[in-house]
Amino acid sequence: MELEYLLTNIAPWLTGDGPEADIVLSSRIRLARNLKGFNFLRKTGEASRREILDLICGVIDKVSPLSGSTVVKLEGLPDLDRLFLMERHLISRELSPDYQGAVIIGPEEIVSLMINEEDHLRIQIIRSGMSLSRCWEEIQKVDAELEKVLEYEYSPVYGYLTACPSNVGTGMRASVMIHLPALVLHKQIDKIIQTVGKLGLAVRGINGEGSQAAGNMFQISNQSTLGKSEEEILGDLEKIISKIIVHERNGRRVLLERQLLRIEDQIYRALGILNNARLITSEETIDLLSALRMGVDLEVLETITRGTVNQLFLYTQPAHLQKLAGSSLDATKRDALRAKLIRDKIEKEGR
Amino acid sequence: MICQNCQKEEATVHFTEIIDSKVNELNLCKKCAEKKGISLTVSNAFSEFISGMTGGQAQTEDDGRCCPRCGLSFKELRQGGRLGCGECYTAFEDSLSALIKNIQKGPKHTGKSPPGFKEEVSIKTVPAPPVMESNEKVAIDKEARIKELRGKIKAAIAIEEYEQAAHLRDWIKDLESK
Ligand SMILES: [Zn+2]
Ligand SMILES: [Zn+2]
Repeated sequence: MELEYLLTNIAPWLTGDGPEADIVLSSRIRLARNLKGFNFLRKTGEASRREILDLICGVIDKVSPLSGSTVVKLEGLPDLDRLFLMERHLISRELSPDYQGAVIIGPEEIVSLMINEEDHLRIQIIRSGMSLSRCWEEIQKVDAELEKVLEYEYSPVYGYLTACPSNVGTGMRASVMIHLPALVLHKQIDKIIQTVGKLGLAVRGINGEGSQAAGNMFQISNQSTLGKSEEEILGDLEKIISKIIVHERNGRRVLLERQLLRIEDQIYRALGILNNARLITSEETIDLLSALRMGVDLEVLETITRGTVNQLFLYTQPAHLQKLAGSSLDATKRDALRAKLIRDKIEKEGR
Repeated sequence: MICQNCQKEEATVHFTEIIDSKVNELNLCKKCAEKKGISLTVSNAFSEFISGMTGGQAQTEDDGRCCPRCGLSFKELRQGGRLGCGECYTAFEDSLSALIKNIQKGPKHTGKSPPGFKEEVSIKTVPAPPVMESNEKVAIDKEARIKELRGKIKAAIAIEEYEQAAHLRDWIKDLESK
């Protein structure tokens, strides 16, 4: 399978636009579905899983939002390509070739379907900014068209039946990726995470918890899926996120009013390293890019766009670097290529 | 409904079995079911309830029970945390309901449903038979009505609305006794 075409496609969640894009990186909704007449994955054999895969692949032509999709089967797919799809949020770690896992990538990577992950089908829509309602509108359309040609496991009591009872009911997991550098700097983040947890939402830092999270980025998602309608779940999530946004905005204003010099120093130091480094790890990159993004969002840096910073977040990850290079690279070579990619991109933009 | 095996006794045990991903509906009398080694699990107890039988075996926490459709055992469920099929929700309902209560906002789905489901759900509000003008018409309508209700019972069982099915069955009894 040729995945190279994705390299030149700017993923829709990277554009850096949409509502509240200075704080919210992306919004995503996933729906878990299982086909009627088949056991859930742990009780299926290879033949049934192939049947499920063929069945779903066979109907995508009839689902208009999926016309022109690419089907990628994990069996026989090189590890690098698998990692590449993970970095693009198109597949999860759990999707496995041993279970005949596959992904159907819709046009422009907005909609995608994971097949034979934990459930037979996981439908996903991902967009830039605070776009949950738009994602919901779009995913409903895909789901409705799929329901015309596929029959799902459904019970009037438990709703859409899923392999794990934590997804049952709506089968919906909505999540928002949010950038909170000011709340981290003000040491308010742990308190916020605690509060949000008590309100029934899950908060995950990227590669770490709370103040240790890489790049000051957090993923906030609904925890329960049963007992409330999709709109209620999304409404609750939106309400809480809009409060967090207010806190982060206040925090940023305080930084600008009282600690401008300190914050400018941090931003320009980050820019200095990114502009000059010859070797840079992905851990260091993500923290410096966070500072760079804050500089863009606070309008301290005006020569770089938000979209560029977002793209650097993605393209400096290991699989993307190696896909760009067209070959597998050892750690040092990756660090060198990463540094060069960042320099070129920032220099080009700065002109 | 007559037992599919002996064609004599009333079928009181209803279940689906899956062989090579083909779903077979089986309706057997109690004797034939026991001969086939099908134990009365929780979901069968529901079926029994529908057919007017009582006395489904009481289930304890770990009695080696399995899902009648996929064969997932209670032990496996506790180990993996994942269910084996849609029927598992019924088979392990008593154990799952505590878990669901813990992690979910409510016990019942209130979100969207598949298309066509709204019609099936309408079995919940079966209108009362209309008052007829002549006796003859009542007789014809009654038969048609019972046939219709039987169809709805089938649909209700298919979607695991056992309570509703029982309710519909009472309706038929009511009609038949008129
Ligand atoms: Zn019999
Ligand atoms: Zn089962």
